[in-house]
Amino acid sequence: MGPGLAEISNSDVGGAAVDATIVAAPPRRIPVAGLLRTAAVVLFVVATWHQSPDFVSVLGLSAIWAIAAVGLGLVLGSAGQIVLCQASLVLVGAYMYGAIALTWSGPTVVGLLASALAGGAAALVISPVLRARGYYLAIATMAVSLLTDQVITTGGWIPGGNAGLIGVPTLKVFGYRFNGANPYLYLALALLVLSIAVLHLRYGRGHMRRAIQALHHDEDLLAGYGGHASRLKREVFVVGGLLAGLAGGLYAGDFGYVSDNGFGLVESFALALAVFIGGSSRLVGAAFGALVYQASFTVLGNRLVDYRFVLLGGIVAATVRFFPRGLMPSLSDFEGWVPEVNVRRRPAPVAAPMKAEKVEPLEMSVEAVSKSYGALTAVDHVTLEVRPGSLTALIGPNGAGKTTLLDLVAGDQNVSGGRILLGGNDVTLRGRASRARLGLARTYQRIRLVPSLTVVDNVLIGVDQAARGTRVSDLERRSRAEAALAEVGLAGRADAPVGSLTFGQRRLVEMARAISSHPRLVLLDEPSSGLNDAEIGGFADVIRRLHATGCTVLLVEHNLPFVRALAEDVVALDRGKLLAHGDTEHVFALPEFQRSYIGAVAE
Amino acid sequence: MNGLQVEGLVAGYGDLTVLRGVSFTAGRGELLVLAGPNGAGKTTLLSTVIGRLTPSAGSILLDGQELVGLPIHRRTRLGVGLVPEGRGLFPGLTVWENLRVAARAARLSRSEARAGIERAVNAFPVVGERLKQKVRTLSGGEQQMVAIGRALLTDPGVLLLDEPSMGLAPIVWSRVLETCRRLADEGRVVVVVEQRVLEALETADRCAVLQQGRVVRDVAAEQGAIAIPELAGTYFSGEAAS
Amino acid sequence: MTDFFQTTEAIVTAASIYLLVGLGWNLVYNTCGYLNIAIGEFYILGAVISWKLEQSTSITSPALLCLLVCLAVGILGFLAERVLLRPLKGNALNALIMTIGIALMLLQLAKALSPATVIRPNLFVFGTVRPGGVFIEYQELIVWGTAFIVTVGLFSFFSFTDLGRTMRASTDNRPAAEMLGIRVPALATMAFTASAILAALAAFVVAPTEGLAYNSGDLIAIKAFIAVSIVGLGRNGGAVFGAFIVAGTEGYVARYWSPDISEIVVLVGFLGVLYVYAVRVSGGRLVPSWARLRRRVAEGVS
Repeated sequence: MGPGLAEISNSDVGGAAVDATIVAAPPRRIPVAGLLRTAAVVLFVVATWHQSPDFVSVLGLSAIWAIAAVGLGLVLGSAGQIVLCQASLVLVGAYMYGAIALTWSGPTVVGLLASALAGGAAALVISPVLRARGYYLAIATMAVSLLTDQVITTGGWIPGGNAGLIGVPTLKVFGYRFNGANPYLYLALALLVLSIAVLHLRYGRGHMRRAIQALHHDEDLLAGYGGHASRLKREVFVVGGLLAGLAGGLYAGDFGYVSDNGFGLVESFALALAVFIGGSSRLVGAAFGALVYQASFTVLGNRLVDYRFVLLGGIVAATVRFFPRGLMPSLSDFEGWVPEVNVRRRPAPVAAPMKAEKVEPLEMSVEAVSKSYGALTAVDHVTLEVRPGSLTALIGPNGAGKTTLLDLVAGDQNVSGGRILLGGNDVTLRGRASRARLGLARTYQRIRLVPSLTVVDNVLIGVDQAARGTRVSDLERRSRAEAALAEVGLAGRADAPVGSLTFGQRRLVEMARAISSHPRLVLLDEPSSGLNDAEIGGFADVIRRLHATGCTVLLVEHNLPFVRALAEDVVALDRGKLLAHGDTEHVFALPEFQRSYIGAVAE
Repeated sequence: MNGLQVEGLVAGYGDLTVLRGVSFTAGRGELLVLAGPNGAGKTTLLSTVIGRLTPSAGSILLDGQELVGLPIHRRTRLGVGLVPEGRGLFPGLTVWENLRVAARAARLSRSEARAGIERAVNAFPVVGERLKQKVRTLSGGEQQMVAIGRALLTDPGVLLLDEPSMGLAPIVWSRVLETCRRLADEGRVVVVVEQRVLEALETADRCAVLQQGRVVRDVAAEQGAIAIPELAGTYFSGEAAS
Repeated sequence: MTDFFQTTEAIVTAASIYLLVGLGWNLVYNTCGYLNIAIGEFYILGAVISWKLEQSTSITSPALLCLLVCLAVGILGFLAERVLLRPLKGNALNALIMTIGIALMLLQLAKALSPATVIRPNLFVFGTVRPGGVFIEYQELIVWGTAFIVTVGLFSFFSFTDLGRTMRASTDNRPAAEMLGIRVPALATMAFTASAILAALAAFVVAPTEGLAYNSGDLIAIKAFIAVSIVGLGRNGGAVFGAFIVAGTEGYVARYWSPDISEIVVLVGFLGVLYVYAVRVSGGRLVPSWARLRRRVAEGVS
């Protein structure tokens, strides 16, 4: 969820990884989890069928709510935005359909279309709330849900007023009237399948999928690679709203009655839980969760129907605790028992050696830049110009302000004073994404890889940045990513989950990602930290090759021998101030520099 | 043997091994400087000694008693005091509250806690003057005194200081070093982990150099002072000083 | 003019409730690192359990009822945190989902226990005072008194007891607290249980005056959240201030504009503030407490 959790090998929600298509079958362990899940599912479905007086009706209702759930699945499950007002958007759609169908004599299909659009429009209106993150977003959407309730209860201008709309006519297409449960079931199912397909085509693959996963796990990383997080959030939220509206329109036609009962905060909660029960990484899972939600109304039988939320809550608790990937079984549960599913249908491309794509180096300079946190001054009026195309190291003892300075240049922190110029432009007020689009790439002290994506997908995030605005096929992007991986020596690990790599290898993946974005200025934050002697040499080579493409490289480092071997120029900081800037050997020999490190002059 | 004895310590975080077999000893009354560049494992070492981190191999003996396996508060009671990097104080709490919370965390009784706080105040009069002030309003040097005072609450036999010079003006740093000397002379083991070694060497008894997770050099302080060019070399060229 | 004071008097009662529940929000946020979405349901249970006890047993003493309610809710809260939330090890998203699940379960419980209409346990004391023509029920005085006592009590707890100081310390700098050997998860359980009890207490004292519906907990919870987030989530100091702002807005709008839209104004106001704050220039994003939360969660997990 947040960057701090990115490193933990994930069994948390949303952590499904694509399995490597290995030829040799792994030893067959009994798939306990998979069997349990399947058993749970089967049991649940059978119980529902047994207990429901009208199974078809339950299915129909499930299918309708599933459409809304799938929309929420995109927003909450895939993109990780905690939205708790989806039921309100469904209600908006229901009212729209009802109002149109009751007052207009034209085709009701238009009403259905309008209901979807109404849901999307309502989402668009609410979308500024997405600027809030995490818990504030959750509370804000709860407020929206309650607000909708309040407005409907008091607003006389809502069609139907307090009592709601009654007698809403069912859908009629080309003279065929959708009467009864069965036609609506088929219609809802058809639309559900269509929705899932469309969502998958657009958001389930390619660069959109990667962007959404990055948005979910590490929003700032997405910005660091040029993605506009806010635009993406708005887009998925509106799409979720469109689907919610559609579900509302179907509901209104099916039941003929619309009121705010049954579309309140509790239902929004239930939808969110449904997404999680199904497994938030898969849209189909959300549909399944909706079935569980609807079925909970009947599965306990008539006497206990009042305890359906206890059941739902209990299922959720068990799911979060024991089946973080969701209750719906997946093929990966049964690896070794089913024939290997070749997930990628592409022929293995021959990774072309990375053509040394020459780039124009970006000029970088800072003028009297400062950063203070209250009384503590981390960077103190530093003025510095980095020679374009140089390999410069930023060094200094602990607390000198090196990483802070890097943060200021990259846009990860705002300056307290001074200016940052990239390529001659004043970028002081510009955000990360905008600086990234100028050709800036950066790595961090801790590893920032998206855990739900494979190695190559993580690298592709860099490729996507370089390919932004151009039409480059997925195949071509993939081959570029693989070339970058080969460049850093990880050719065979493209489809592995990042959790399976060692620390040093993950650092290399980050380098491959940075390389793929064809940066003109690269900022590396302690790239050698955590690497052992064997790995450091290879890493230095990678940095040199990157530098050979012509970009400017600025790296913060503690490992001075590493710096000595690698850097042409060195910038030394001490206590936030610039101490020296020049040729590596020259600076190293300076008494003040040595004193800053070890306290007194070397004889 | 009296004092601190670390043998073959191996520790890390997840699949990242930081300490690859650290061994050194420091007797009572000794001020040991543990030098080394960043990434060498200095903080990891101290975390392991205090008990925050569990080593996968090796032993830590305090006056012959094995510390590995004991929880933090037991080690504190047995006499290990840590002054963490960045001081590890609670900025929104007053000086007195900081001391009090630490005392209770170490499961000191009321009278022990009171005695401990008195000890801290006696060691650093400035702490006594600032008892009612919030820690975040104190200067770096004053905060350092509070942090060391806090470590003294349990009358520790071993005092560990992690980069105490950070953020301190040189003159304050020398005063901290004098205090460390005094504490060592009282019969404690004082281990100072530092990058800025040279001033420390003037008051220290011995110097050990940590590099890439191992102690590569362990000499008497005067010898350390003589070996400065080599020491600098360790930093700047990475060759293990022979 | 008495009208104005009468309105103000009602506002004080409402503010007392928002304050109590708001302190509950802060407690969990500070010590546990996530938000207890189920706090609205713990609130309602305070009234429901009290009413149910009155109906099914012969207990009439408010003090005894109070004890039993606090005990019951305390046990529920303790179990919820210990069994369901603690194993999540601070994973913020999972904790959120879990609290939503807990909220639904508790809501069901409340519904099962509550009467068909409004939950209204017996007043502890009958009668009103009438200073200057303004009617104040004795029960309302009890509400005010409870809020006052709890606030002062909490303040004293955090300032003068070792446990309170330790809790503040673990909020202030969690890694340092762990470094000292403080068992932060145990503190989290305490805080969660306490927040549940606080919320329940609020409903317990206020339900006899006006009655509550079993599903009105979430609205109160949101308004209490708005009250504490105005001054900064987690900062108890300004909670009183925030509670009066929310209650005041609601109350005066209800009296001088229209009662129907009073809550709408509060909710829209909240969303508006979020929006404006988030749109501030030079890259301002509304991320104040979440960044801290994220950092804390990250540190907590390692």
